[in-house]
Amino acid sequence: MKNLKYENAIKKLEEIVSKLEKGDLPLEETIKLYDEATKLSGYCTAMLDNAKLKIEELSEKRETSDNE
Amino acid sequence: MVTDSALTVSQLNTYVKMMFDSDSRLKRICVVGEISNFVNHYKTGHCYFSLKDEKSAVKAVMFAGSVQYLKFRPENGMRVYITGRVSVFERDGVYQIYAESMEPEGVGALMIAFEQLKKKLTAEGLFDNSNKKPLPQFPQKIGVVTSPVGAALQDIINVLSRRYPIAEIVFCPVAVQGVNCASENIKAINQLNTKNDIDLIIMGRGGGSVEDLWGYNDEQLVRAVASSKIPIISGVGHETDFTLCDFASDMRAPTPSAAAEIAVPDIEELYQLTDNLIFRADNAVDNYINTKKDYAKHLAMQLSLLDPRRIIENRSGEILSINKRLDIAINGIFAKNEAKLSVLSEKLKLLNPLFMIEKGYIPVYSNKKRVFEVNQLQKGDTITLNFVDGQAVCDVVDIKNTEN
Repeated sequence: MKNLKYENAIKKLEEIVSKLEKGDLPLEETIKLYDEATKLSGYCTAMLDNAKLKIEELSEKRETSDNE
Repeated sequence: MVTDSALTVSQLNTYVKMMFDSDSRLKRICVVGEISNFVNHYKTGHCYFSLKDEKSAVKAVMFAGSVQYLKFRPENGMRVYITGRVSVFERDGVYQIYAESMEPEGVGALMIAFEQLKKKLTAEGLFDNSNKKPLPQFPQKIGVVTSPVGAALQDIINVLSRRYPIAEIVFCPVAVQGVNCASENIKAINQLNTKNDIDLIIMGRGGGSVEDLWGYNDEQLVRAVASSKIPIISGVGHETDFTLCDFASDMRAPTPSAAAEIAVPDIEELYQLTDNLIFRADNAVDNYINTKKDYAKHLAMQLSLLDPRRIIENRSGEILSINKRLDIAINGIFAKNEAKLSVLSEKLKLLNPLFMIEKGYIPVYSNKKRVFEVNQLQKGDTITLNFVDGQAVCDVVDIKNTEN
């Protein structure tokens, strides 16, 4: 989960919640999904808590060194 | 003789041209008039046209070297100020204006150029809504194309830090005015498009004069914006400033700050979104477990109905009730028969001759036959009365019928 983008994490969480809301899965899978949902929501919240805007500059120099 | 002093046509034209060229006023002149017969030579790039007013017309030419500096495209009917020199085209013997610059009358050249390019690109469909790409809901990497020194960059950073700090800015410093503005912006957009992880581009600058913002009306830049695979939000100048990049972009924002606001969701909403999702997950699992519990209860109930002990109980109950019904039926039959019997015995009692005799009714016999009517007897007959305790033999003395 570590490298999951926020967008993908929240999308995954939404999917799991929709699945859970259908309520047609076996108990074992339901518990597994709920566990995953809890982890994802914790991950999303932590991501928001700890976020700090990153700024990278795409300069001419970078570009030429990248091309080399 | 006349013939001796005759000039060739070329000599004449050369002479007249010399006359024109020696006139200092004609060397630099400003003329106002309406363009007609305008031809832009497709090969050389020179422009040929006439300038006219109500009464007169004069030929004019503008060479490609000057045409390239024009900020708008001259059209027939346009009233323009032309600065240049007046000279003679020797080959045809005509004098004409050699235009060096041209300004439209009234609205500025830039405005005309703006409208012309807008019209052209609109006709091409470059600004169609069908060309607009949807903006991502949660952009992770955001390309920011603006000046490294302007306030726009700081504004964008501030808004993104506050609203959506999980984003990453990929900053492309560019000139936001002047001759390099368009080319540097084009380069930055193309460069961002070669990277595969940029979700969104914000391009723009703070306010300025029409001339300052002019780079954002460059045709090639506008095309680059329209063809970018990555969605672009433009925020150029202030609320009231519109550039062609704004029309070509996928979303126009009134300012760079507003562009950043539009670009990302607010972190408070995201907290709420996450809370809401986990709340829904809780509810769903609660419901799920309750449903399963109810079902288990339902099954237990069904099972209990199938318990053999219960079946035996039920069956014995049935037997009991059948027995009861049997009792009731038999008792009913007995009671009915008892009643019948008592009626019959009562009747029988009445029929017992002794019973009648006891009551005082004495049977009469004559010749050993029971006599019921007086007509069976005659005067002088002998009759016998049978009492319980003996008999009395009697003579019939008289017969009398009962009178009615």
